[in-house]
Amino acid sequence: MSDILKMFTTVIKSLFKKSTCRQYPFKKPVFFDRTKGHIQIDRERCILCSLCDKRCPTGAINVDRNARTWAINSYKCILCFRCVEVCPVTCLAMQQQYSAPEEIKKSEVVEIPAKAEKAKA
Amino acid sequence: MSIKKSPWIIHYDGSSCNGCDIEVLACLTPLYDIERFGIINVGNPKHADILLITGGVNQQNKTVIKNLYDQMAEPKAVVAIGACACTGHFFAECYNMLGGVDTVIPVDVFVPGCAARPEVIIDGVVKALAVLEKKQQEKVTA
Amino acid sequence: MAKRTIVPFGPQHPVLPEPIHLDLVLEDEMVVDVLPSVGFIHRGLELLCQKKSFQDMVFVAERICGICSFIHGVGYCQGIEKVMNLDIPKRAQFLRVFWGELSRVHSHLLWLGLAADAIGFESLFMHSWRVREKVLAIFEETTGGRVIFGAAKVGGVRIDISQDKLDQLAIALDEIQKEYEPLAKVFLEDYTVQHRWSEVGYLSKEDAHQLGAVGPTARASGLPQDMRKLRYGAYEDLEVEPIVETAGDCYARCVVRVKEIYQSLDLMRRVIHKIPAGEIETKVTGFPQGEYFSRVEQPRGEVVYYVKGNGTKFLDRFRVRTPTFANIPPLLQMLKGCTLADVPAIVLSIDPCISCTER
Ligand code: SF4
Ligand code: SF4
Ligand code: SF4
Repeated sequence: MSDILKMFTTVIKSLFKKSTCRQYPFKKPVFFDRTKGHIQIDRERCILCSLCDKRCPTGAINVDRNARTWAINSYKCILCFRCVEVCPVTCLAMQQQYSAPEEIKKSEVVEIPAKAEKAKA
Repeated sequence: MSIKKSPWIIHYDGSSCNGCDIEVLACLTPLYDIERFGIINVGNPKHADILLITGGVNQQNKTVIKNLYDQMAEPKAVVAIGACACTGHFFAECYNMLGGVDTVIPVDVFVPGCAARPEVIIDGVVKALAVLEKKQQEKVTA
Repeated sequence: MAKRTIVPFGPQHPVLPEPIHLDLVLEDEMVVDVLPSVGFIHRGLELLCQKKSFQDMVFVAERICGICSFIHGVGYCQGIEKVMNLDIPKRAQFLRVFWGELSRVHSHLLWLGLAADAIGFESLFMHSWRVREKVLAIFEETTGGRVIFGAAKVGGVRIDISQDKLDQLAIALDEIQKEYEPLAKVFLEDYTVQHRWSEVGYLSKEDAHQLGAVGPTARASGLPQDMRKLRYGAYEDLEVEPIVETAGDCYARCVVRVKEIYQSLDLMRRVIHKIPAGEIETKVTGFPQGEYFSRVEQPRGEVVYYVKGNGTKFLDRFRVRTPTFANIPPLLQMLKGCTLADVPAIVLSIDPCISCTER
């Protein structure tokens, strides 16, 4: 008898309690300050030293000095933030928003403006 | 016509480190609860519409993955979850690894991250639904 | 003699998220022999040590297994640090213990859920994982990752937790304990759970010793074996008493894990209380030369890392002996003489982690 009573109280409680579910995608995902999402570059500050390219353990970053591009393949990146640590001008940052799933794998290529253009801008 | 209303998924662990694995399972549990959308995790490939693969392909499991894929009924979609399943990241350099899942079967959606967060996995499954719909349309018109 | 049948189990099986293949030799319903075949997850990551520098190898070590990822990283770092004779700041050591114990709670809750699922107790599975998400929230808050967080590094840790945050975490831990208590009560008192697991998969103390069982599997059979007694890292200042049960069946293994969660929560509170201020890493210069065996206690038992440096950026050899590997001979012993329906429950009871066994 007491067991049944206990069961009923649990059921009633569960009926009125707030749901545990985060209700994604109807509500925004919850992030913390340190949440690792994706790597973002501040293209104005990058000096194309290609340290991040060399130190990345997975080879996700590709820096091309001649073409002045910085590319990241987020399907290779393991979010270890090693690149953030090594960048001498701290132009890389870990952002909270995760990279979205896609149907084809492609690198995100960022063009780094030349010094002269920067000065003009 | 709606697979879209209640797609069934099957999960296979390629050579993952369990990180993405438990995130797939976490999708099924209260905090993310994809059963809200009628998505059920089944153990039999013949019942499933979407194949979720975590981890890359190695010499031993490439036949297993191929078998699983062949056993699924049309239309079907494949979602590669995690950096391992997409490209194999540094494991691609290992002697036993072939690389990402797309080296043995066609992959429809790539989900990045290491480990991929449950939110991204949900997004990936939603993307796969659109693919599934398209494939079904093609089948009907063909 | 009854007719023998061979039933294949796995590699893709609903009860285990991971692929392992067992050929079960049956006589009627009884299992008389088990032939495991492995290699579905073998990546060969030990050899990566010749391609990745010893500092990058931490990331590889963390990806041996996603469940005890942090402890893998720490075990590897500890080996390198011993080879290079590095002194690790106290604060870093305490933080390592903190995240390590939190990983233990996370891993055990995960196991409790999976085990409940294996016996068909779906709601218990859901509740265990609900509590587990609270633990993951702490991980995400302090390191940024939910399961793999890359906080370990040779020479210390990469991220600090501020003192305010630690105090808040103490409250969060109390909340977890409050939510965990009713759950633990179900595991310890509920008739269904007891009925399903008692006297299933028996392993005697002698067998546990001779077949080399480790971790909760050994402790449930009455062997007080716990690597934290070796006093590595900050365990120097934190007394740990291994939790021992004597029954040796699946239920005893469950009880050990249920109680270890309390122990770990308690340890974390002591860490928060005792943690000294100061640096979190020492500068690493030079390259490792020499070899070392580092032994660490994981949620699943003892894990051994062997590292051999040759004075260059790359290691000569990196070797891992994981707890599940040590627990497979005892598992085969347990499976002999059980019925087919008990196989999933027994396989799960050693908390198999295939990905670290096969690496
Ligand atoms: S986070 Fe790590 S893996 Fe990703 S790009 Fe940076 S260094 Fe490479
Ligand atoms: S390390 Fe920083 S400055 Fe150098 S190439 Fe990379 S992003 Fe640019
Ligand atoms: S992507 Fe990362 S977390 Fe996922 S299976 Fe691979 S190594 Fe593990």
